[in-house]
Amino acid sequence: MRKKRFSLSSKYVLLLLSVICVALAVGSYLFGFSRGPVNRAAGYVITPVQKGLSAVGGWIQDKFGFLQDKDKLIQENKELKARIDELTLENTTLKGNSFELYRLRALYQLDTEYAQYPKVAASVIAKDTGNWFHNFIINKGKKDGVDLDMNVIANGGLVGKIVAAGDNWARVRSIIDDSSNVSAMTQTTGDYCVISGSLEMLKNGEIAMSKLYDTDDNVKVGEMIVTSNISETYLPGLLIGYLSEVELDANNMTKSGKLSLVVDFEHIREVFVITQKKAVQ
Amino acid sequence: MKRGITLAILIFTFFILQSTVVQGIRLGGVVPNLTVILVTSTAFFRGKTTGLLTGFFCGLFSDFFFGDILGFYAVTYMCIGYLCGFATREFYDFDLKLPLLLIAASDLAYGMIVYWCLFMMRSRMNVSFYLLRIILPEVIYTTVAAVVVYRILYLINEKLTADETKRGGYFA
Repeated sequence: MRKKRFSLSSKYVLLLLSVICVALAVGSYLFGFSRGPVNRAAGYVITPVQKGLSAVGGWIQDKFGFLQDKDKLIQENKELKARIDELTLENTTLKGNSFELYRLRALYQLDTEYAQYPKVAASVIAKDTGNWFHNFIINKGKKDGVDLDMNVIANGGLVGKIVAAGDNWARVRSIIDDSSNVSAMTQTTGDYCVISGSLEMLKNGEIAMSKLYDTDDNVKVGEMIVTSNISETYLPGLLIGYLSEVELDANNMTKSGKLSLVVDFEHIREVFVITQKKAVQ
Repeated sequence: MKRGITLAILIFTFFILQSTVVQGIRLGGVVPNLTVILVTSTAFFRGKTTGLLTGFFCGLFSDFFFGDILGFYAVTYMCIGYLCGFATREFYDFDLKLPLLLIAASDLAYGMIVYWCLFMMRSRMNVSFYLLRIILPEVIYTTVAAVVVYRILYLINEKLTADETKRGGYFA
């Protein structure tokens, strides 16, 4: 009975579907194939389920976490306490500086502070299915004003940008993704560099920094790296991380190194989407 | 018909689980690949055509949500489904060895294909790193997960086959 209904041999089905896939691939690559209707359907059927189940995933992750070393937590607690002292001190100095900053900003009429960007809060409802890439889905989409190329932040640092958006969901490519490149600069000296995600370095919680042009050797380990003002899609001045390693390249001109991240990508649950796009002239 | 619907529900459920709950059991930065388990098992139970169709739809879900080029995962999973279909048996009893071996091999192949097409092509040449830190841990984790997941899929398949024979219909 089944045999009769399916008279098509599996070889031909394979061939046919392969052709469809190739057509889809070419279509999406060349014409930016709008995934409109499917996106919409997917958004309404899949997103709500993912929303609920992600909470379950988070809960399991927390329970899993308990199984891990208690010593690690104690150690971390000690370090964090030391860090609080350090930060309190720093905060005091910064408060002093901030007055000056406001004054200067008024002078230059700049407003590049995060707080002034319009933001939308979103929760992470699904993560990349495999072990190769680091994309995730959030529960806000075009309806909430989220659109392509918008920047996403969390924990006060840059998370990534929107690479696909449906009505009520959007896909974020995080900066730790192997295919991500961000144009960045050093906070104090304003030297440009490129921050690229790398699966290899990510295993140590770091991402790669390269093409830093710093002939005067001003850039030191611990330097704050922020998004640059010359980036096409990233708004300027968003914190990416702190330089943990820097060395001169073989070409004797540029430097490269590693960056330790600000955002805890493994436990990311809530993010903010900056609903203002960078205006490129 | 019943089988088709069950399969559609399974594909949907597995995709949802893979992108949500499974992310919570990440060990050493690696999650098991449930999709490979589903595609391989279905192909093993039902043959080439069903196997490749399952692979196609599983892959399509990944493509729409996470892929940059539509169709990549669809082709990959489809080929896995098709090839595993060659191992189908007319009659078999519950034996874990062959399906587990098949799942491990499929996951290894999947890892290699992804590495080759999406990483090596972007001059990420450190093969040993990707093999030892990503591909093999995933194979091991997937195979361990398959011990449980395959059992469940096997029971579902048994139930469906029993229903079909009872109705006097065809026989797998």
